[in-house]
Amino acid sequence: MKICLISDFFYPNFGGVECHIYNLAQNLYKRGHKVIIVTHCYDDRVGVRYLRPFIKVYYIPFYMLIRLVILPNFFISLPILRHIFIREQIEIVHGHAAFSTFALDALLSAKMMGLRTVFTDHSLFGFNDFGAIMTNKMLEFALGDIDGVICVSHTSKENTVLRARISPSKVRVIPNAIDTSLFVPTDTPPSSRDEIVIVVMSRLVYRKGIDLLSGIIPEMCAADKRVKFLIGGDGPKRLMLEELREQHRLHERVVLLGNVEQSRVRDVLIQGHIFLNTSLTEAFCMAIVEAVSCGLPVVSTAVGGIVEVFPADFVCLAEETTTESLTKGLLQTISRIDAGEVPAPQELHRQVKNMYSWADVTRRTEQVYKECSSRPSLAERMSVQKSRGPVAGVLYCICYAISYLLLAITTFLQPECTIETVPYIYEGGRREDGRSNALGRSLSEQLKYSDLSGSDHKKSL
Amino acid sequence: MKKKEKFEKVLYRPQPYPDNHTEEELFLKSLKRNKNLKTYSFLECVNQGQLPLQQLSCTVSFFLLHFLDIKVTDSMIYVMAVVTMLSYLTMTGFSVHEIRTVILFGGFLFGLSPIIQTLTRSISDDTIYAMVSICLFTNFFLHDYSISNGDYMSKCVSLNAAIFAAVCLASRLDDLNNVLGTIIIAILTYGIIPPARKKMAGSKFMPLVTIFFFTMSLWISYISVPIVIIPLCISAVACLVVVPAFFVHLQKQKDNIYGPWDEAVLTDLVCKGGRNIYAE
Repeated sequence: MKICLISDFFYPNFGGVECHIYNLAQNLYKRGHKVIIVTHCYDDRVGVRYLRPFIKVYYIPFYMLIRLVILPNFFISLPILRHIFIREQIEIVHGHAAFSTFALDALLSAKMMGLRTVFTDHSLFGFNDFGAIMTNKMLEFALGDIDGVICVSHTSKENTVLRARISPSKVRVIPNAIDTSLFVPTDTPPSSRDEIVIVVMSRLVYRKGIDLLSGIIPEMCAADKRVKFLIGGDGPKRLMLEELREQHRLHERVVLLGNVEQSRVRDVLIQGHIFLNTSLTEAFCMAIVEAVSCGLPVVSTAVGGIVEVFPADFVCLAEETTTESLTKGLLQTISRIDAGEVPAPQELHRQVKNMYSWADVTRRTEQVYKECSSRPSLAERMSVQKSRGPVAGVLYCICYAISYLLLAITTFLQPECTIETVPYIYEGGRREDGRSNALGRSLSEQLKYSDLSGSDHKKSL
Repeated sequence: MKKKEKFEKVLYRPQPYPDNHTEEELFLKSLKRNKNLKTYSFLECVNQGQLPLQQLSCTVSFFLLHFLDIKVTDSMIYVMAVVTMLSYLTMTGFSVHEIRTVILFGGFLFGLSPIIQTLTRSISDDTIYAMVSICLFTNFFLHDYSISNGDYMSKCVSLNAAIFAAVCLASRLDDLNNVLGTIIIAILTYGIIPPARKKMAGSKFMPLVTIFFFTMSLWISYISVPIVIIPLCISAVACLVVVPAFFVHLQKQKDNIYGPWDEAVLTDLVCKGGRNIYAE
C-alpha cells in the first residue's frame, strides 16, 4: 500500500506525535509499504528530505500560526496536496493529532479526491472552554466521513467519540509503542545506600503538573535526606523550579538538565532510582513506558489513559492528584527499594518488550488500512454533514462545495495525466545495494543524515 | 466453545477482541453529567438584574442633566466637591497617600477646567453627541456588574469611556462652573457609585437604591425629554422580568460532561503557607 502520514508535527520538532509518526513510517516501510510523510516547513527546512531508509518527507511552505500549527485554511492546501498524492500514487492518507490543523485539512482534501482516510488522535480534550469547543467542532467536521479512527487508549477513544460525535465502532484502540531496544536497563544500577535519585522527564509546562512537582520537591527533600531530583526538559515553568531551588537552598539536590536529546533520554533515565510523572492529563503517556522499559519503578498521577497502560503492580499510581498522595507514593516506593522488593530491571524490560512493540502496533494499524474502504458519493457525505447541526451542518456543506469546486478547477488546470509519478523503486523494504537498512541507528544520526541528503535533494515544490 | 475472557479497558495485554470492540457496559462508564452544577433561582436573577438597571438610570440621568440648563453656582461646586472627596476617602480610608491623591486630582481639575471648556470648540455638536453616545454605550455594556471581587478585564475601558464622554459633554458648556460640575458628577456617577454599589450588593437596601435611581431618571426625563420615559420603562421590565426569566428558562439547557479526560485540578497548592508565591 502507498501511505501518506500527515501532521503539523514532525522532526525537527520533538515530542510524542513526532516520534510516533517516525516509528510508524519506519515499521510500515519494513513491512513493504511505500510511506511518505507530509508536514509544514520548519524555518528554512522547506522542500523534500529523506529519512533512512528512503522515507520521503515533504516540508510544505505553509507558515506556522501558533504553537507549530498552521492557519486552518480548509482547502487552500488542496492543490499542492493533490499534486503530491497523485505524484506519489497515494492510496491512504493518515492524519495525526487533533491539534494539527494541517492534518485535518488534508483529510478533507484527500476525501474529496476519493482516497481512503485514517486519523490518529493522540491527545485528550475537555469540553468546557471556548478553545476546546472550536477544536471539537473542527474535529467533528474533519472526522465526519472518515474511514477509520485510531486512538491510543480507551479513555482517548471515549473522548474522541464524544468530541467528534462518531460511532464507537469506527474507532479502534491501538496503543503507542516504544522502540524498546533504545531503552534497555543498565547492568550496573546505581546503589541506593547514599542517594535516591528521582528522575522527571517532561516539558516544564502546567499540563505536565510542574506545579505539583514544586510541591513535592521540598517535602521529599525534607522527608528523606538521600533524595535527589534529576529533572530533564525545558519550558515556561522552569523559572518556577529555579525559584523553588533558590528558596529552599536545594541546589545540590535538584538538578535541572534543560532539554535532553532523544538519544540521551535513556542515559538520564538509568541514573535514577525512581521515575516520577506528574502529568495532569495524558492520553497514553510514553514517558512512563520508557521509564519502565529502563527498569525504573514509576510513581505517577492516575489521570486519563495512564491507568490502562500498566497493571497495578508495575507502577505506583497516586489515588488523588495532590502533592500528599504523590509524596506518599514516592515514600512507599523508597521503602520498597530499601527492602529490595522492586522487580528486577531486566524483568521489567522483558515485559514491556512484550506489551508495547512497534511490530504489533504496525500490524494492527495495517489492519485498519485494509478494512477502511468506504467510498460514499459527495451527496451522501453532504447529507451526513448536514445532519450535524442547523448552523454547523450548513457551513460544513459549504466547505464541501467549495472544496469540490476547487478540486474541479485544479483538475482542469492540471489534469492528472500531466503530473509525473514517482517510480516505486524500493520494493519490500530492501535496499537495492544490499545494505541493511538503518533502523538500528540512533535518531540523531538519522537526522544528521537527513540534513545531508536534504541539501543534495532539495527540490522546489 | 471456550468462553471468551472478559473485556477490560487495558492496553498492556492482547485481548481476544477486535481493536474497535466497544463493551457496552464499560464504555463511558466514568462519564459524569452536571457535576457541581449551579442553578440560579428567578429571584437571584432579578437581584442581579437590578445592577444594569441602576447603571442605565444613572447614565440617562447624567446625560439628560446636560440639557436642563441649570445655572451652577459656586456654593454648589463646593458642596459637590466636598461630597465627592469625602465619599472617595470613606471608601479608600483616610490615609495621607489618598488625601494627597484627592487634593492633587482636585487641583488639576480646577486648574484645567478652562482648557476643557474650549477643548472642542472647533468640532460640531453632532460629532460630540455621537461620540458621547458611543462612549456611554461602551460604558454601559462593558461595566462590571459582577458581585464577586474577581478581576474584570474591561473595568478601565468602561470607566475611561464614561470620563471621556463627560469631558466631551462638559466642553460644550459656556460657564466654567457648569464644566466643573459636569466632571464632578461624572466622577461621582461612574467612579464612586459603582464600587459603593458593589460593596452593598446582596443587602436588603438594594431594591431601595434601585428605586431611588430609577425614580430620579424618570423625574429628570419628565422635566427635560419626557419621551425617554417609555424606553426607560421598557428597559426596567427587561432587566427585572424578561431577561431573568429567559435566563432561568435557558438553564434547562445546561449539560456539562466530565470524565477521566479532563485536566486534573490542583486544589492543595495555594492554601499552604510559603508556597503561594508560586500561585499565578
